[in-house]
Amino acid sequence: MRRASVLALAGAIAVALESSLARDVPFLPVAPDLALVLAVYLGLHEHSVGGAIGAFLLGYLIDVTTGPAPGLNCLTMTLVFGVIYLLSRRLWMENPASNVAAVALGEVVKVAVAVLYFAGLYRHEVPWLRVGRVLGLEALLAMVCAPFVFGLIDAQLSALGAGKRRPRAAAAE
Amino acid sequence: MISFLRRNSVLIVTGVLLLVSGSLLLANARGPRRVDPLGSTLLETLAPLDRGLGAMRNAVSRVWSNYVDLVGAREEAAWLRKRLREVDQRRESTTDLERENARLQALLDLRDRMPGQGVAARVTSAETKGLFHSATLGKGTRDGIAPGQAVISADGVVGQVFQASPSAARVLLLGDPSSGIDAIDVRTRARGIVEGSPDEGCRLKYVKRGDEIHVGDELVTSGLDGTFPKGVPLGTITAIVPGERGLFRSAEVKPAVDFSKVEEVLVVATAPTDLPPEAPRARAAKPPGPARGAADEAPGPAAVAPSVGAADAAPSAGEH
Repeated sequence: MRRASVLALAGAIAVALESSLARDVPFLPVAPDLALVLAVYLGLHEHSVGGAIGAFLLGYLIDVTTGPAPGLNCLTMTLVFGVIYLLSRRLWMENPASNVAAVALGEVVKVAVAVLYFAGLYRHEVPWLRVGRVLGLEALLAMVCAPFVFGLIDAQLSALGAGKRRPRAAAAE
Repeated sequence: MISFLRRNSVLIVTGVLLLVSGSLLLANARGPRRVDPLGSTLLETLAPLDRGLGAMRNAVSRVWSNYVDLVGAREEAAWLRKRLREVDQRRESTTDLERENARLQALLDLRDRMPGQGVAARVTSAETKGLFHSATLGKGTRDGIAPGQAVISADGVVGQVFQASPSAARVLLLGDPSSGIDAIDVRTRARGIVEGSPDEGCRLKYVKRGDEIHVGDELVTSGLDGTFPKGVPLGTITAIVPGERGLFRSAEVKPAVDFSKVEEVLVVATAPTDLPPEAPRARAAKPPGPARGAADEAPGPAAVAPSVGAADAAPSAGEH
């Protein structure tokens, strides 16, 4: 329960920062995709139905607060969770470098969903250059932020005695 | 079957959620109407949080903007202060030059009206607060200044030269107790001697008891003492000394010249004569009252000092 509370709080803060505060920092061209970082964290460390629902709710929260198309972020975050979950079940991804790589992969998934959305469902001419620039910058910032976000969540979980849950594959070893 | 579901529950739930997400996305992509069953409820639930975040965001934004503005304002203020100092200095300098120009112009006018020619000189120092009042001029015998010569300014009588060296001269100011100049009341033509006083101001003495003098009357030089031209303002009567007995009356006089502020003077080379009618102050106070006989106003010896060139009239730059 404490673990779920910490993650829920982290999700709320991530969405709040992404939708509000970070956009007002003058020297940041875009807000770092903190929700995606959190979805990756869930995919890496929450190998449970709760993790999947958490990722979905995180996406839905973004859709409700800032998303232009309901379902887009739900789909993205759930897909990111699923991909990272499957990957982390087969690969050992417990170091910062692999965490950053996982975030990068999550960004690739997000870009893929965005491209599909714009290509298939968007009814206007797509500003690809702008889409690419924004997504690229978001990905870059997310990768920079990822180690700090992961560290903060782990620190909070440790402080509350709800330490990091070992992935099932690693635990099986 | 159950164990399969349990083993792959995460993937199954993820798949279901992906389907839900996809359906939601498709439903919203097809029509203009937003299909979002829980959206409005969640939005309402999150509204207070959003307002709080908005307030926080505004506060952060304000603090940031203020900080940035402050940094810019500080630099701008420093630049503006520097600029203001420069402009102030320039304005001060211009104002000083204008004032000096006006004073020199007045002195030049006065010299032009003088029967002879005088020497314009700058006052380099003046002692007006002690018991003895004197001033030092930046020109001396080399410029034609000699002891005994009258010193006047555009406002009136300043004093008399009592010592001179080749390049400097000392002036006994009108306010000094040992100074005495023959004076005449412009309005009543009453005559007396204006003397300095250890107090501030001067005193008019030796006015015949029968002569009429009043507070506010202006006094000018009579020209009879052989030093000052006639009609140069001396001062204004501020009070009549009461209760005096004997042949004469006295009065308090405020000098026409503020000795502590005089900067340029004209040294009248020698013998006095009438100042033309345009003389400062005296002109404005042309006698409305009973005039005395012409003999009373007769000028003294009309000798004129050795003339000094016009170029010498203004103080030289070296004296600034």
